[in-house]
Amino acid sequence: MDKRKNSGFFFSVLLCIVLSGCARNELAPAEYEAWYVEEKKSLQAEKQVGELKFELQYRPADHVLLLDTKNMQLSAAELEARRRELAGLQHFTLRLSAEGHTDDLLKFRLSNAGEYASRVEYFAFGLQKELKLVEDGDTLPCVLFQYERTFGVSPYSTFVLAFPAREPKKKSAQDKTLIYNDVIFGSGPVKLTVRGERIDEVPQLTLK
Amino acid sequence: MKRFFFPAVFVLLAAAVAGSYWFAALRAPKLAYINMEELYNEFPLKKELEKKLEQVRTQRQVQLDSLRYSVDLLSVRLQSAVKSDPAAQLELEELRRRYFTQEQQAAQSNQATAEQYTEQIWGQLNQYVKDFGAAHDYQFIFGAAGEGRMMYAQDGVNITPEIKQYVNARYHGQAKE
Repeated sequence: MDKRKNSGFFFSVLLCIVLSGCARNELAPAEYEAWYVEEKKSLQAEKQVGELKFELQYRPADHVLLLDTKNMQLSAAELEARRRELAGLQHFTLRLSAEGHTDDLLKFRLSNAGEYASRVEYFAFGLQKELKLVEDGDTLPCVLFQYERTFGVSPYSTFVLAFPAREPKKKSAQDKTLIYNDVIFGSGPVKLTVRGERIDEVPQLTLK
Repeated sequence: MKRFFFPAVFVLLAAAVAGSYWFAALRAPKLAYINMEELYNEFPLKKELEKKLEQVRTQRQVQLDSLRYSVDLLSVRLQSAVKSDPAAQLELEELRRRYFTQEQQAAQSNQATAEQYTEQIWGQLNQYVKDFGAAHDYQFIFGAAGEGRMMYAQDGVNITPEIKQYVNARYHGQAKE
């Protein structure tokens, strides 16, 4: 009888461990923010080609939600509704900079003043079509795009991007590879991959 | 005491010899060479851009062919006409001029695109080789291209397979080591 009791106890402990391992970690807003600051590097991919540096940051939907609703008192139902709205997209930030170049990136290897204006226009409107996201064999277009213009204050250029979220074919998250065809500085297609296993470790935001 | 003297001296000498070899090995530059042709030809970006260039060339050729067809058609029509038609003759001349201008432009554009792609391929390839060298502590990595600049190297220092794997994975987005 004792043996049966013991094995039942061990089985329940094992089950708890397995279930807690499978469940996504839930964090309150302040904890989530702290987690993001600590772990955002693991959701990054970067590459340098010559002097140019390309940095991709994956932004979990809950982090976007947290920033959007900062200082707002949301109910659990409102949070869930907002989460559903954001669930259709996957968000990224792309940052371009040049090694040793402390001025406006748009002025990097500039041949004439006219080229500056065409670069501004291209960064604001043309670059979107040079972006694709490859995930589990599917190629997704960039559906939301915003160039954060700093008017020469910072030496880098930042783009806020969103791609459609696809129905997962597998249980775990897949690697996400951004393909950016750099025609302005001549690097050609640059691929940046955010690992699926890192995305799997992203906690869930809760109002607890 | 005397019994241990010679073995102790022997051990010390052996340690000194091994130490000096180790020190020399540490100070010796780490060298390797790569077969540039193999690396370049099997670089995925090279294959992708080659395909893209072929598509661009075909598109331009289709436009040219259609113009050429119009020139030939008009030329045949004029040759078979009983009466001479000065207006059609002028049109033919104009079409011919357009065709040759466009042919020249297409050749120049094809060359410019090919140069641009080659620059992009070498830009990325050089970066990944540089990253590989830094990650694996190489002082020198030579590129053998079969042009006679490097006349001999032992097979043991050929790192082409290793570097090819690294470079191709880096191109596909794998993080730097």
